[in-house]
Amino acid sequence: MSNKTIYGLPDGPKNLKPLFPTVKWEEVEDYYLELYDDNGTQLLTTPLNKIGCCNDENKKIRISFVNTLGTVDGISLIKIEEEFETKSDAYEKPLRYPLEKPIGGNYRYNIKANSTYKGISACYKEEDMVWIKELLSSPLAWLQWKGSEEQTDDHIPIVISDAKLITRKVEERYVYEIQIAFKLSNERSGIKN
Amino acid sequence: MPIVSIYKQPDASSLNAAYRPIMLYCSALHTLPVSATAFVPPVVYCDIYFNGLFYKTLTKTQSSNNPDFATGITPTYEFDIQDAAQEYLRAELPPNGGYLFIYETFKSMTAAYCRFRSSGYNSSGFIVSEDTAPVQRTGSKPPVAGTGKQTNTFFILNMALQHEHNQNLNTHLKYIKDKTNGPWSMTDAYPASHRPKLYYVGLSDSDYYPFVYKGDSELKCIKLYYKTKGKTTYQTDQFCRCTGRIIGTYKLPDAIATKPYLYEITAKIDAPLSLVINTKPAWMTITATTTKISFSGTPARADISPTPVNVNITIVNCNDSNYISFKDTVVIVKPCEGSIVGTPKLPTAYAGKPYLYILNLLIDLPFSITAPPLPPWLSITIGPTTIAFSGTPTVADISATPVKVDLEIINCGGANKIKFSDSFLVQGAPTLTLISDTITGGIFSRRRRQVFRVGPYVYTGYTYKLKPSFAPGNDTVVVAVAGDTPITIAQKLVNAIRAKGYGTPIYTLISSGTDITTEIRYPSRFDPEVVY
Repeated sequence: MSNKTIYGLPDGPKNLKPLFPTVKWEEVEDYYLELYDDNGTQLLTTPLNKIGCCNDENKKIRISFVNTLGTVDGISLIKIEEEFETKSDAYEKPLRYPLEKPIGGNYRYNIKANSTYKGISACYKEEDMVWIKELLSSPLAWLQWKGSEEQTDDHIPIVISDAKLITRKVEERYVYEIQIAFKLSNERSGIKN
Repeated sequence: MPIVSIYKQPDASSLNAAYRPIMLYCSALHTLPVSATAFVPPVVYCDIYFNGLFYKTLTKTQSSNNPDFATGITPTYEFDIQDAAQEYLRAELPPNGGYLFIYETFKSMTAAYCRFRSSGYNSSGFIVSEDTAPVQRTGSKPPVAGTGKQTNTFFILNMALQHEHNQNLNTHLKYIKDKTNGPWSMTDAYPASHRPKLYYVGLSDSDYYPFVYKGDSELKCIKLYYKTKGKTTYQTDQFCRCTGRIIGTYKLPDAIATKPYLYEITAKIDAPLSLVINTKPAWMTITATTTKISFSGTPARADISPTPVNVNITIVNCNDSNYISFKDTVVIVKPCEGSIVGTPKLPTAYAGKPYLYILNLLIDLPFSITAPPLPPWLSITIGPTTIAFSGTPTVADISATPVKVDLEIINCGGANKIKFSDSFLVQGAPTLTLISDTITGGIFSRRRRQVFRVGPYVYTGYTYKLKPSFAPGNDTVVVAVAGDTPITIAQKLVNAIRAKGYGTPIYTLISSGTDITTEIRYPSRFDPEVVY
């Protein structure tokens, strides 16, 4: 008997491909799912999933985030900017006489290095902004990460930057371009000596 | 006094958001009052259980009202368990990519209830809790199961409700169903995301659609509706996973030695399946099909045991990936029995003589009897292990037709029936009757000649009397003994009068067959009587 709890129904093409291997996913425009129990009773119907917005593999990023209902939602964005930023402190050490060629006097320490990403989406409409608010106010978020060096695909934790979002405007109300900035939760590691 | 009532609590099986008050209210009295007016408990406890396991205890030392003993206002206590739920619950991240069938969370939703306990003071002045306080398992120490007055079991979900949302989570989630692309189960499933009705995903995106499930069935099939580019209609495909489950709850009933045993459980198990029997009693046969698990056999008397015997099986299906476990115990009890001791025979009843016959039973209690039609004088009295027939028949009850008694003794809830059939006669009573009383002799020597007749029924123990009017109290008495007949009784009466002498002339004293003739001075006389 299935437990009484919260479940996640495989809903993305990546999850559904193993379950429906005969479907030509490259040709699918949109789709939805129904779930049935062992009595044949229909339990649910998903929203209509549309493939096509933010679908360029080279440009898109996908963020998973915890929504206000305590579950994990996802949103695909077009990556418009990736910025690498470092911060450090400086110290100066006394020099010996005579001066040695490779030894300097000014050094940096406490180096903090991280990347900041920016993504946009213009797929969602004014009525969807309520859900976008959950994204921007989410306490926990992850970047879907493509596995490399023999590692499987996984999630990398990110910190969504505080932002302002116009959820209702007077002109061009049919296009809402949302912009999200975030940085990786773990900074780059360096060595000290 | 215990917890008086739980007067406000979440509905059973309702959904509740962890990030808003989850209130439980009870009223309680002193467990061990030190005086008539000391009725406010020093502490009231709320033991919180998540998924059936004790999590933590909240306490209140102050009531939320102003209790008044005189007017009967009992102290009330309020507990908000949202903090405990927020500590316990977690958001859980599904994997990136394929996951077999459905991703299940373990700490995003919990079944919850609270057990309230009241308290009082012991004779040393220490606070003493009512019921048993639960204790978690620590190291090698086993847990202690707590007791108390239990609330409904409801669900708490790791969810927050916004101010504009309906504050009833069930209702709020019901409204999200409209943001999907089709119908939902009314009560078993709810959406757990506010995602838009038109949702965008990329071809290589991993995504899980979160939903709440609180039904009793297995999640079985995913049906995909998809539309390819340039087409206007949707094609479908379906994926069903292999499942198996026992439907409902089960409890092996007691097995009765020497009686056939059969217990069946309804199941829904995908074939092929295999049955692994881990433990079972030797007499028991267990079979499993896709729809039924059967436990059968006949235990012998040697199997009777007060200790429950473990029955532990596992049904394996879905290419050895699904395990359906059955664990229970069965008690083998002795069969319920009953019998009549010996070979009873109802004796003859005699008019005027009290009748009593007792049937002794060797029987498992309780038992009852079917009341047979009996003559009015005869009644049945049921004792602990006896059935007594008693009463006193009258002359009117004398009959050549025997009284028939057909009795059915029933015990074991109707499973055991013992029949008793017999009959007996009601016969006449012994008599001594004056059949002739004449005056003889001259005017100066008048005599009384009386003839008495002994009746045809003679029974041991009956007393025949002839009572002389001239010697009150000095009766002629003959007690019938075994072997007496009416003739011998008549002879004995004559001999008894002769032995008495009475100091007065008896002119005639003879017995002739069943008749006795006496002749004495007039107006003296004998009066006959038979007593038991």
